[in-house]
Amino acid sequence: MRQLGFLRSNAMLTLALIVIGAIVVGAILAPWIAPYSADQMFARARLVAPSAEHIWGTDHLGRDLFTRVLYGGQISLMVAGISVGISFVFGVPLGVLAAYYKPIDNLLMRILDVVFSFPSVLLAIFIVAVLGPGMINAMIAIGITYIPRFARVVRSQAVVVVEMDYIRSARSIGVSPLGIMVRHIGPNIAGVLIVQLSLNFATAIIAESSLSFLGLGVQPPWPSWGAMLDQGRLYVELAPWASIFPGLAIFLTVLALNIIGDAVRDRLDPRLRGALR
Amino acid sequence: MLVVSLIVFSAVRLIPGDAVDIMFQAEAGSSEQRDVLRQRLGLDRPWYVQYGSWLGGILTGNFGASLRTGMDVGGEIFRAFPVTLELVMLGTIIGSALGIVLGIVAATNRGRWLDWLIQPVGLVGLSIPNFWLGSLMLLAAGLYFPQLHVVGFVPFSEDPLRNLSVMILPSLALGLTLGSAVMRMTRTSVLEVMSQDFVRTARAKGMLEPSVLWRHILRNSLIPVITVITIQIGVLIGGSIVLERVFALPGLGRLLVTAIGERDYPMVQGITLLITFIFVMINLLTDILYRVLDPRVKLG
Repeated sequence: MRQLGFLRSNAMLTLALIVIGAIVVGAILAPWIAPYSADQMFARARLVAPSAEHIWGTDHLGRDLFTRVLYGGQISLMVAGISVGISFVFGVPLGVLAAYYKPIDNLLMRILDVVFSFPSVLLAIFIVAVLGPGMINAMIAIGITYIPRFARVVRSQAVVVVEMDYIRSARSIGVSPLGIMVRHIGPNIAGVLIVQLSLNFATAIIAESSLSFLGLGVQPPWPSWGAMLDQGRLYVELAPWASIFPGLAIFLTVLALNIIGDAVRDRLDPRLRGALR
Repeated sequence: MLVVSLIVFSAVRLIPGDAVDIMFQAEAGSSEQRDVLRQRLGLDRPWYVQYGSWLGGILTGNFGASLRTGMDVGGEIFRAFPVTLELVMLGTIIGSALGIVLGIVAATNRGRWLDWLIQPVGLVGLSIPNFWLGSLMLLAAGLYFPQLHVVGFVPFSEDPLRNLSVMILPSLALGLTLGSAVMRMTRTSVLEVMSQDFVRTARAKGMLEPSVLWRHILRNSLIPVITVITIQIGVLIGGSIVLERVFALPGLGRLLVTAIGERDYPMVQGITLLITFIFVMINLLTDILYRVLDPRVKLG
């Protein structure tokens, strides 16, 4: 059974990596793969069902949906990527600092606890309310919201590492605190960080599409998966394809990222490896 | 709560552009006209005077008037709140029930086909954006159950059946995400407790399997599950804001999104304050619930 589970999860992981790879490549190569340009409108072909000419159909302005999902991938992946990047850049150093300097720890973690206790989509909506709707503000909002996630995970790992003997030896031979943090603590938390990056990237994609769906994120005519779903919403019975394909893109991306995150976590956690397989 | 109110108030003031400018966008009014309107709405007063009068109003139950429509903010919120509350409550009930039951089934059948069946469903449920799921449900309902009333909200007090038939799809969409998270947590937690010594002891002394499950395993594995549920309630409130848009429900979410677009300060402030308040209350209730479930937990 255990053997089977291992094989099975490996196959899943491979499949997930292929799916993510395909989506990323599709988004990057959109200008070359896409049959039309993102804003090209076919006035005579509005809300046309999938056909040879438009393999995923067209939207209410006669734009080719396959093309727009590809270009939408560029925007959705970029917004999610930059958001997670923001939270990574601020969250990881905060977490390491908190683990290394005890006085910072208490104050910082209290503040982050308060931020964290608030649901992230709501917090992002409120931040967007303050900054005003728009793509860049959506990135900032999601980025700020996710800082505690990185800081907390990093801190909980780093606190253990800091107490290890080799850190004490490093300190005693005069390695600077910065050197210890970068060279000794860094590699030890890398695995956990990969899991966090993968899982948070997944939720960031949902957060971006939720904001854009509400009209608070990426603004039309820019194609983003969430904004496309919002536009397709009004025609869902006339032209279900306008709602199905952008949503499918979100779903597959998030699913694949979750599978990858889960798989890496299981590999890393020896306790789970035996118990849950 | 006072700190929260000040943060909410000042944050909302930071929104670039004000309601007056937005209102005048269509018909370009002169700057004198704008000033007159600002004066009438009280937007020309310094921020601390505005804050003082807003806070004073709230303490007496008055949330102020909407800058946009002139309607009473408290009244608007009061009308919209039950819709969101019903949605979140139904979603929580569906999600928790589904998640706990499936989680137990998956854990007690670990490695067998039921487990293999339930686990991927949980992963899919976590990954599917619930507003997309909502759209698909609307589509499916339109195709296969055209006689069902799925749009056009009616208050529960007016027509309970009609109300439930409108609310069932969004609640399901909302509950599925929660259910998946709860299922995964329940499964892990039950498995962990099952491997503990006291469970083996209970079995060894000849206790029947169902009572081992109820008295020993469930009771000990529910705490992390409840943590997940309470954390997820916040996520559900966020989700309901989005789902209200899909199903055209006149709830808090719709009110909030419109108010943000129109820079309607009192409205945004009122809704934000209410949601924050609910949130603080939920956290408090969770702490109390822990105490009830686990006598070892002391309230700090």
